[in-house]
Amino acid sequence: MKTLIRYIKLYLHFVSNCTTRELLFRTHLILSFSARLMLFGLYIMMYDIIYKNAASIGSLNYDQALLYLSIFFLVDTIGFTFFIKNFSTFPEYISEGKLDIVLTKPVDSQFFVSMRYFSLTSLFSTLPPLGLFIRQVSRLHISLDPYHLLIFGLFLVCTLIVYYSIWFITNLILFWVHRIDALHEFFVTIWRFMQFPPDIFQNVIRLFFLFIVPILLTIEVPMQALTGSTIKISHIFLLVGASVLSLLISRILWKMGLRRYQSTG
Amino acid sequence: MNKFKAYIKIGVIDALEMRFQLVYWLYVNMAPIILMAYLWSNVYSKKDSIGGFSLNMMVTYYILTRLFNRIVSTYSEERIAKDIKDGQLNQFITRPISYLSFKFGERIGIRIINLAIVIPIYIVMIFFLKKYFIWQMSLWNFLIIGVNLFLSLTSFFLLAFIIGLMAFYMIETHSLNGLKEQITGLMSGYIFPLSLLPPELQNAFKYLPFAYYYNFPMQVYFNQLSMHEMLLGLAIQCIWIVILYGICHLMWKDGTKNYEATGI
Amino acid sequence: MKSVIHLENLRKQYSYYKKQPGLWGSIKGLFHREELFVDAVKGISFDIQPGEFVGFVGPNGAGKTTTLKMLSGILYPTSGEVSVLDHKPFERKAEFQKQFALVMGQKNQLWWDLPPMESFLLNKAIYEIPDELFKKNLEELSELLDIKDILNVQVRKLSLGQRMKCELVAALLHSPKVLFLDEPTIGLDVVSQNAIREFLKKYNEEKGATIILTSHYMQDIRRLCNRVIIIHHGELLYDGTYDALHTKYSDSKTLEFTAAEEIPESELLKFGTEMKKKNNTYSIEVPREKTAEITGKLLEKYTVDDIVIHERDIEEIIGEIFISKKMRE
Repeated sequence: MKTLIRYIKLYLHFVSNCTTRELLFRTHLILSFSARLMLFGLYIMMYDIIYKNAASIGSLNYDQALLYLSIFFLVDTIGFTFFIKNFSTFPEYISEGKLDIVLTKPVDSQFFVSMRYFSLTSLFSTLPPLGLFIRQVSRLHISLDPYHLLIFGLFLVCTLIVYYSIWFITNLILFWVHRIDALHEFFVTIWRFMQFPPDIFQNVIRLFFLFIVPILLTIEVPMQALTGSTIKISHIFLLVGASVLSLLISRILWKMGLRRYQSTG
Repeated sequence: MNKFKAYIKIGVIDALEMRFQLVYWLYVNMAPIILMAYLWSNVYSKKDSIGGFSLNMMVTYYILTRLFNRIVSTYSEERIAKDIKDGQLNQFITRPISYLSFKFGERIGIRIINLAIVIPIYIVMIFFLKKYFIWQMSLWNFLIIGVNLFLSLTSFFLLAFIIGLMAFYMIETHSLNGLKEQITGLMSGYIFPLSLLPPELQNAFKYLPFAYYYNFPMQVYFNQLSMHEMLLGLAIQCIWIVILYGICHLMWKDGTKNYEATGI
Repeated sequence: MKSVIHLENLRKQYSYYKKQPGLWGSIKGLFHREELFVDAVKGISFDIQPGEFVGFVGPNGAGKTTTLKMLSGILYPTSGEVSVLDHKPFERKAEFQKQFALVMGQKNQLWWDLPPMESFLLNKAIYEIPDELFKKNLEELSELLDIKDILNVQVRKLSLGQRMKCELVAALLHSPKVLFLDEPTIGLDVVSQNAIREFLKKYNEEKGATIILTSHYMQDIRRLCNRVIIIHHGELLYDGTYDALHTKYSDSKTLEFTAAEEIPESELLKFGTEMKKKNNTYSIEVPREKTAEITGKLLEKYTVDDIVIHERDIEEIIGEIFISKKMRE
C-alpha cells in the first residue's frame, strides 16, 4: 500500500513536470490537437460515406458504429496520453543508452520508462471522442446506471492493460535488434485494425487477433457491457485473461531485455 | 555521376544490413492495405457499388495509392528542421551549395533504394490479392502517371521543405507536420477515394495540389479522365510547383537572414 | 576497515555481429550472421576503502566506463564478483540505489526545456528525500557551486559548465555515500573545470564520500585523486598512489621553443636530455623540479621567440607502462 501511494505520488510529479513543459509550447499544443481532431473527423467521414451509401460495417447500424468508433478513439487517446511519449523515447533508452540513468534510480525501471512522460496534448484529444461518445449514448437511449458504468469501466481498464502491454512488448524488440526506424508505429499499425468493428474479420485473422495479438475484444466487450447486450462468458475470460497474461509477459520480457542491455551510445 | 553511384551502393548495403527493418517495412506497408481489404469486402458484401467504385476497384485503389505514396512521399521535414536547430545549416550558408537541391538530390537517392525494396513487396501483395486486383494499363496512361508521379514527388518535397523551414520560426515542427499529414490524407484521396465525397468538395480539391498525389493518378489508371482533363491536371500540378518553390525561396531568404546558428 | 567497493576477477563480454564487407557480404548477412564476442573487461580486481578518491584512467575503449556501469548496476557482469556497499549492484535494490549516484559527462538527466529546479524536485520525489534534508542539501550545494541565480533558468539557456554543475547537484541531493563520475569535466572550459574540481575535492573531504572518477584530463587526476587505477584493454595495469606513478613515469617536462639563432646541440644538452630540432624549433626534456630555472636560463641566453612547456600526457604514460609490462612478461 505504501509503495502504491509512493508511485501515485511520483506519477503526479511526472504529470506536473510534463505539463509545465508542454504548456511552454502553446502553438505545438494547438497544432497537435488539430491534427488529432482532423484524424478523428476523417474516420467519422469514412463511416458516414459507408452508411450514406446504404451499406454497413458488420452487423452494426450507423449509431452503434459511431459509438464503437468513439470508444476506439477514447481508448486510443487515453493510451496516447499515458504512453506515446514514453514509447517513442524507447530507441533513445535502449539503442542510445539513455536507460543508464534510469537503471540507477530507486524506482522500478519498467514503471519509469513506461510512465515518465505524460502527454497533455493527447489528454485534450480525448475530448472529441468523448463528445461523440456522449452523443451516441444519448442517441441510442442507453441508460447509464452505475452498475453498467462500473462494468464498462472495469473492462476499459482491461483494454488499456492489453493496449499497454502489447505496445510495450513490441518496443522491447530493440533489445535484440539494435535499430528499427519508427518502431513505435508497430503497435499503432496493429491497433488500427480495431478501428472498425471486428465483425469484418473472419477465420484465421480472427483467431490471430483473439489469441496471438489479443485485441479483438478490446472495444467490443466494453461496448456490449455499456449497451447491456449479452456478452459471451468466453469473451470476458478472453479479455481479462489477455490483460493479465500480456502484462505478465511484458514484465518477463523486460527483465530478459535488461539482461541483454549493453548500454551503448 | 560516380559519386551518385557510390551513394546508391552504400544505401543498398545499409538497407540490407537492417534485415529486420526490411521485414518491418513489409509489415508496415502491407498491414493497412490488408485492413482496408477486410473492411471493404465486408462493406461490399451488402452492396455492389459505392460512389462508382466496385470492391475490386476499391482494393486496387488502396494497393496502388500506397505504392504511389512510397514513391512520392518524403520525410525530409524532420531532417531539415534538425539541420536548422543543430546549426548544420552553416555549412550550406557559407558554401556555394544550394541547400534545397542538395536535400532534393539526397531524397531522390533514398527513394531509389527504397523503391528497389518496396516494389517486390507490392508484387507479393498484388499476388496475394490478385482476385481483387484490376490490371489495366495502357502505354499512354503509364506515361501520364509517370510524369504525374515525378511532379508529385517534387511538389511533395517542396511542401516538406516549407514545413522543415518553419523550424526557423518555431521550436517544435512535428505537430505542424502531423497536421499537414492529416490534411493531405483527406484532400489527396489517401484515406478514401475523393469520388466518395460530395461533388462540391471534389471540385474544390481539384485546384489544390493534394488531389494530384493519389486521386488523380488513380483516375488516370481507371481511364476516368479525358485527354483534356489529364493535361489540365498536369498543368495545375506545374503551377503549384512554381508557387511552392516561390514560397520556399522567400522563406529561405528570410529565415537565413535571422539565422543564429546555435548548434548544441 | 571494511571496503566499500570490492571487485574480484570481474569480466564483461559484449556480443556483436560480424559485418562482411561489400554488397555480396550484405546479402549473405541477410540469412546468416556470425556472432562475435569482445571482452571489454578481462577480469579485474580491486578494493576501495571508505572516503577514498580514486582516479580511473585509461585510453578510450579501455573498459573504464564498462566497469563503472557494472558498479552502478547498469550492466550485468559476465562473470566475477562485484559488490558496492555490501550490495550486488545488478540486483538494483532501491536501498542500494539510494546510496550512490552516477554522473556521466556525456549523458544528462536534466530536463532541457525546464529550469534545473524542476529536475531537482523530481529527484526529490524519486529518491524520497525528506523536505528538511532536501532544503539543506540544495542550499549547501548551490552555494558551493555558485548556481543560486540559475536555479530557475531553462536548462537549454545554460552554458555547458553551468549545466554540469546542475547535473552534479541533481546527483548529490540524496547525499550518496558513493559517487561515480564518468568524465565530468569533458568539454568544459578551464574555469568551469577548476570550479568543479575544487568542489569535488571539498565534497570528498567534508562529506567523506567515496568517489571514483574517470577523466581524460591528467589535471583532474593529479589534483583530486590520492589513488590511481589504470586500465588498458580491459586489464588492470596499475593500482597505486598518484605520487608513485608520477615520480616513476612523469618526472620530466618537455620545453619547446623557437630561437632566432642557431644553437649547437652540445650547448643545449647542458640543459636537458633528448634534444630534438626542427628548423629553428628545439625541444628538450628537463627534470620537473628544474623547469622554471632552466626556462629562465634559456630566455637569458638566447633570443627566444616562443616557448611552451609540455606535461607528459596520460596516454603517453599508459603507453610506457603498457610496454614495460609486456616486456617483463
